[in-house]
Amino acid sequence: MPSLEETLAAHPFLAGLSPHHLQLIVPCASLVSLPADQTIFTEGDQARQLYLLRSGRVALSIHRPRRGQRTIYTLGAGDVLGMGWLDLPQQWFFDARTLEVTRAIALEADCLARLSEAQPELGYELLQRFVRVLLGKIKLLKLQLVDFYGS
Amino acid sequence: MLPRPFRVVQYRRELRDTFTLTLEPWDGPAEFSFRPGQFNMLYQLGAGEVPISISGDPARPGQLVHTIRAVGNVTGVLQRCRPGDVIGVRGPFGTPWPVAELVGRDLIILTGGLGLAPLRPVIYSVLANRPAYGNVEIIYGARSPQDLLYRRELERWRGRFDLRVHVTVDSAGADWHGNVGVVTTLIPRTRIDVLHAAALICGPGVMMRFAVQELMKKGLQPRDIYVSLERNMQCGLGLCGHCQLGPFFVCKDGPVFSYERIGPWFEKREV
Ligand SMILES: Cc1cc2nc3c(=O)[nH]c(=O)nc-3n(C[C@H](O)[C@H](O)[C@H](O)COP(=O)(O)OP(=O)(O)OC[C@H]3O[C@@H](n4cnc5c(N)ncnc54)[C@H](O)[C@@H]3O)c2cc1C
Ligand code: FES
Repeated sequence: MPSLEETLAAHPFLAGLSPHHLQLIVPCASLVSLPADQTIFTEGDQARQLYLLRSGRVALSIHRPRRGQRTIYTLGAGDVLGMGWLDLPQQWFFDARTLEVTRAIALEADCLARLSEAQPELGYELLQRFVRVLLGKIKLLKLQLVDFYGS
Repeated sequence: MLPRPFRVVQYRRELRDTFTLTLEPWDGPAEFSFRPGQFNMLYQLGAGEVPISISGDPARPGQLVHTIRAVGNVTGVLQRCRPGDVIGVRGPFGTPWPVAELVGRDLIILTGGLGLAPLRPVIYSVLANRPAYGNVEIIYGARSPQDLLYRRELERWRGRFDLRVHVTVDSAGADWHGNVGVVTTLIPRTRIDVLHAAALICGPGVMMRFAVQELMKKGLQPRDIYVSLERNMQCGLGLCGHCQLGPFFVCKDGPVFSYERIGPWFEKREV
């Protein structure tokens, strides 16, 4: 079985990070396995974790009064879930629910923040990766807004 | 080339604005051979003529199948056709998808919205000769679950063990358990050997542009990416110049092009 450090290194979000930086992250990380149809977090709850998805699928949705739940996008293996803690008031702004059995690496946000302050080089590395993920998401959401399929 | 009369034998409502016409030659049974990716000019007296891809099974040349979205004048008149009505057909025109040339390769068939119609004959052909190809991945996107074309067929293909079908929509209610997000998000999930794979893409220009970018990011080469282009057409024969794109006439040199060939002209907007 691969070590936690190897599992971290294998996720695209952390790929290319130096072994030293990976070792520093290990104490912030744990492996989670979630059954299908399980709520991971709910809009408004305190955002304390980041999930690096390894398999399965997760739906991010928003609740609309009287009109029910609307799925905004789904995430799968290799994706990053949950960056609500990056901004105040550190709350989730979507609901997240598994669609299938999902395996992920959970990273404690406070732990990552402390590490980043103590090790600015690692903090900068992580920040660059968050920006890349966020820009990718903005691009995809923009495409979702235009009539991508011309219907 | 004069239009040949065909009789509508079936009208099928697919979506709110989209329907499928099945046609047979008016003067009795005859074969109408075509290759996947080719199109016909459909003519309605008093309304005009429009290019429409053939979306049926090439192995069943006795019937001509067209899936059409009613967007304007001629397609609006075609939408009112019912069994027994007669329409004029010229064709088949255009270059086909290189289905035979891609034998032995992994395939990504990527499409959105109505773009599934011109690619359906490719899927029929590949499935009829399934062992000849490597991994086959179909990626299909639509605005919402209600906008999925050929839904029952998609479900049937999805049930096969020798095919991976990824379907995604732009947004959906809680009863949808499939993917949500644009089609390009599914490209990284495909299981292909990029050195021996080819991609066939059909859909609106903006979708194809981003799909090409994402496929190249995955490692596919421009020569291994094929796109089908739409341009306003009139003669269908390379004579009138209506469909010109750079040095090409889309009706004659296309509509299917390798990205290597069409790349420099691909981003040009129609005037
Ligand atoms: C090679 C090829 C294959 C095609 N295959 C199909 C198909 O399988 N099913 C299908 O429904 N449609 C297909 N089309 C598009 C179809 O030809 C047009 O929707 C049709 O010509 C519109 O004619 P109209 O008289 O109904 O609309 P018009 O009254 O002429 O125009 C209505 C609207 O449609 C737009 N439009 C007109 N012509 C085109 C065109 N060629 N491409 C894109 N938008 C256009 C106009 O800008 C306008 O906004 C194909 C086009 C090409 C070039
Ligand atoms: S439609 Fe006339 S040249 Fe292509």
